[in-house]
Amino acid sequence: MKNFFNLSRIIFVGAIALLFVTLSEVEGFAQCKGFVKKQIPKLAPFIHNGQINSSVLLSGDHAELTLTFYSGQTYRIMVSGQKTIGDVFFVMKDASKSQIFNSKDQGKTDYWDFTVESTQQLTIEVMVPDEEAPTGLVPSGCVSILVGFKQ
Amino acid sequence: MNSLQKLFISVPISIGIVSVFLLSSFFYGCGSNKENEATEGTDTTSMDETGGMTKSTSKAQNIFYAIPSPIELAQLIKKAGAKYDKDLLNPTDNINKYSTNTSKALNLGVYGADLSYTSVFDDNTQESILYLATTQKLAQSLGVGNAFDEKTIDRIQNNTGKKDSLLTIISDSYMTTDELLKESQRENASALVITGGFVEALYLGTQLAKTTKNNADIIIRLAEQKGTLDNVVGLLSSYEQDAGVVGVLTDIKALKEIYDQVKVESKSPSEAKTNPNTKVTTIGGKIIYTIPPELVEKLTTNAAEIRNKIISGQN
Repeated sequence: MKNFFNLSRIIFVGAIALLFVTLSEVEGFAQCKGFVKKQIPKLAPFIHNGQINSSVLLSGDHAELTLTFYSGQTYRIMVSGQKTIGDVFFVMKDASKSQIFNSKDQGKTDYWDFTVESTQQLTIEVMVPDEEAPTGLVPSGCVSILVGFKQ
Repeated sequence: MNSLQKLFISVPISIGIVSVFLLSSFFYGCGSNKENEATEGTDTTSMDETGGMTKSTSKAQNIFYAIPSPIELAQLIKKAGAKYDKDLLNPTDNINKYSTNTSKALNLGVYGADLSYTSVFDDNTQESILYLATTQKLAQSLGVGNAFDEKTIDRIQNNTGKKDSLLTIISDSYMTTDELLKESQRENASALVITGGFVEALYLGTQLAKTTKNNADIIIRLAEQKGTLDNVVGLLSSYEQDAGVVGVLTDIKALKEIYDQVKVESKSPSEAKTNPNTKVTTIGGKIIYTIPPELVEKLTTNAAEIRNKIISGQN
């Protein structure tokens, strides 16, 4: 009877902790949802590629998106991050991992329009600055990578 | 053992269990079509040449495998000389065959590709409306009916004839589908929708290559799907613990074995030049894709097999 009582208590505490974890995940997505929706209109007149690529990242994190870009099309890449994580920036690398673009070189911009002479896979690597908040906590925030295309 | 003694024993145990769950959550894979990998930290203290990160102990790396929209693939095939053939589309009556969530998700992607195809290839209002209705019904069955709600249907119907607006609305609906699935922790279903759309687009491309007289440009576009197929494998592999994904992944890997034989040659490096007036950057570099006729035939057969398995509801 004593053991059963202890086991019940352990299970109860575990369930509370698991609920906390699940809610944190859902809250993370909810945090991104509102943020991403605000970025989408800035993609016009490009057509969105139909996929949501967003995540809550910590200070110092990377995110990477790989996609095939086709000759004859024009693309817009929009990389946005919440203010809590500072000025995110991105680099573009080709299939051999050589860097061909750094958003920092374009001044403060959250989008980039480009075409490719030949169809190829490119990787967009987003960097969150490695900073510490005044409180000493590691900042976190939503980062989204949106891709639009047009002929 | 008295009550106070019991408290001193049970509280540390509870704290320990909560701590284990909280630590587990730190490494828990989040939503979205991505992988999370804990990477080894580096001891560098200065920014590297790409402005990358410094001094980290354990940083999560998020990888997204993006797939081109079926709208874009339809546009490419049309520009390459393909003509419209409604007989290639997945019959709308097949919707009655889709009883599992796996087959519903895959075929939501298939019908989405068909809707994209009818909308891109002009003057196909009747088919567009028919495929729109079918897509709406299947979306509801999958629990993402809000992506194709009445307001969206009205917008689409009011914009038939205005192709750019129509394509934007269709794309928005599929983005909402993606969002709703991820929001409800069904990222695996999102991956299947995307896969279904890609397979249908590939099927349409290979079939149209067979029936188009001067099909060289279509063949090149088919060869160029090599990288995208790698991404589809990467995307599905993120959910290979899901029973519904496993079978599809096996089929897609068979397709990859064919694409691994497509030759890709980089003749000159990729360099970026930005037009100061338009602010548009052109990434140069000459890349050549080579796919021999026998490989095109293999690809056509294999794509048709996978596609027909999907639309028959066998998944």
